Amino acid sequence: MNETGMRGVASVVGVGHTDWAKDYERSRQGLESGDSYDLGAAAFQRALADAGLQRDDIDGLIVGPKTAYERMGEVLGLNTRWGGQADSVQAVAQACMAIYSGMAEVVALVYGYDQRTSKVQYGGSGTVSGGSDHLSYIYHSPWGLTSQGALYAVMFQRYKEIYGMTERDLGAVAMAQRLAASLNPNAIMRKRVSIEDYLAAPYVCQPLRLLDYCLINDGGVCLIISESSRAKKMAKKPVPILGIGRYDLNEGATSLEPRLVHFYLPAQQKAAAQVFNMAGLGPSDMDAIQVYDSFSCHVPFALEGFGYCAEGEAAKFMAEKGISLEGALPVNTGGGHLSESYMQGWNHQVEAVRQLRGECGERQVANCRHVQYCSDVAGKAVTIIYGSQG
Amino acid sequence: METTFPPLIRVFGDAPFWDSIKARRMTIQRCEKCSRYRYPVASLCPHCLSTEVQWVPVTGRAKLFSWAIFHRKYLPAYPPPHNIIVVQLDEGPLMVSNLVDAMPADGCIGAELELVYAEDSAGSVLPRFRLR
Ligand SMILES: [Zn+2]
Repeated sequence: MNETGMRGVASVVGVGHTDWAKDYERSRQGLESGDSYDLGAAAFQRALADAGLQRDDIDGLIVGPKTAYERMGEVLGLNTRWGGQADSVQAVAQACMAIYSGMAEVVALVYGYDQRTSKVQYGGSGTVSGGSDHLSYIYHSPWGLTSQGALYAVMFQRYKEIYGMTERDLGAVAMAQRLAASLNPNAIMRKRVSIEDYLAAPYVCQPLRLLDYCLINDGGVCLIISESSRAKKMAKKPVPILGIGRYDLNEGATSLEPRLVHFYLPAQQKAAAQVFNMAGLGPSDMDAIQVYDSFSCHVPFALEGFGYCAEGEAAKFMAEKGISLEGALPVNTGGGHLSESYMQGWNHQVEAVRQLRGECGERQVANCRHVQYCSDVAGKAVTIIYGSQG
Repeated sequence: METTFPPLIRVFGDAPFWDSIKARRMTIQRCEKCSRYRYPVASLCPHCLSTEVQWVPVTGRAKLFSWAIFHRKYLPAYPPPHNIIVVQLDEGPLMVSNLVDAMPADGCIGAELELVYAEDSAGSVLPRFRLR
């Protein structure tokens, strides 16, 4: 098998998103900014303009998990020769595979979600009605465990007691990402926080505090991914996708074994081996990383799983090397889900692209050549390496 | 204050599990072929794929594997602070439950636990654990 085959075959040529901060203010005032389709469509128009493309240049469409494929295609007036529905990181992977296999040449990835306006509940009575669609999410509701936050709380509590990481150590994540957001005009939460602010924030699900939790906001994001030789003729400097890796731990998922016994480590290690092999690069080549952060503790787990430090040493890495824009390895350079916008991984792809284009102004990572995206959601470890040249 | 537990999540084939809890003698599945216990219920063993299964009563002994405390109210039955724990049954499987008669605190992972049964005003029974 040619494991490097997909390296550089596809590139991101356009990015666009809605005005998260403005829409957040509007939703706080009870004003709507549109439904999930409207939000996705607004992002699509901006991404097209960013790429210098016309709608009819698009021949593939992948929509996010919260919108129906056919309806989004209808709203955008897009007839396509290839399409699908996926979460952020798998949408990028699917677009690359479609381009690699010749099924499409220029694919639009469109995400919209009006989760704040439509009062989506993460946890609570809405999740205890039964049914077996999401067994691991609802199964424990008789005992009161209904939220994703609680799943990460039990994971981080066990990690704390095994490896000696403290809540103060974890505060480094919220502080670093708020520093990044303070320099990001697109971010919703831009006021910097100190360790005292962090420790004074109330617990939501102990050991996790309010500042460990992602935002809940409405928004849309669009990426346009093109076959790389064609990408060179477009408006902006293309950002090639140099590698993709994935590994899933499904066994024992409902009883929480992948997260509590393994902290997802074996899945992350296998995904990391694949992505670094495909890209011909290693952790020391990365100038920044973006980590899916529905909760802050994703960051230390990713640092260990994707090979940035040894198992159990994330607290030491964060304290000594640093994960902020002022540290050795900037993480979530736009503020991530905690402070920029909760776009379920989609905003992290935009931030990676902009860092590699050198468009990030005050928060720009100097001489940024490679950015890795790392996610571990429900046992699926998926990772992408973006580059600045093919 | 509402005192009934949230509804039980029933899946195909789990009647022996909930019935045994109601009878205060919790049983879980054990694979006839490789002898491994499994929870929650499944029609085949994820280790050896055998469909041969026995329902076996647990000893009720367990160790605390992890915990968390809700400081916000998510469910009417569970005003904050409300704890959830993950225990490892002596038989092997991990199980989510609640700690009774005490609140978990840093350093308590590994503590020895024993199974108890809690009944709500509607007669629904849940397995819970207390420190031994
Ligand atoms: Zn077996």
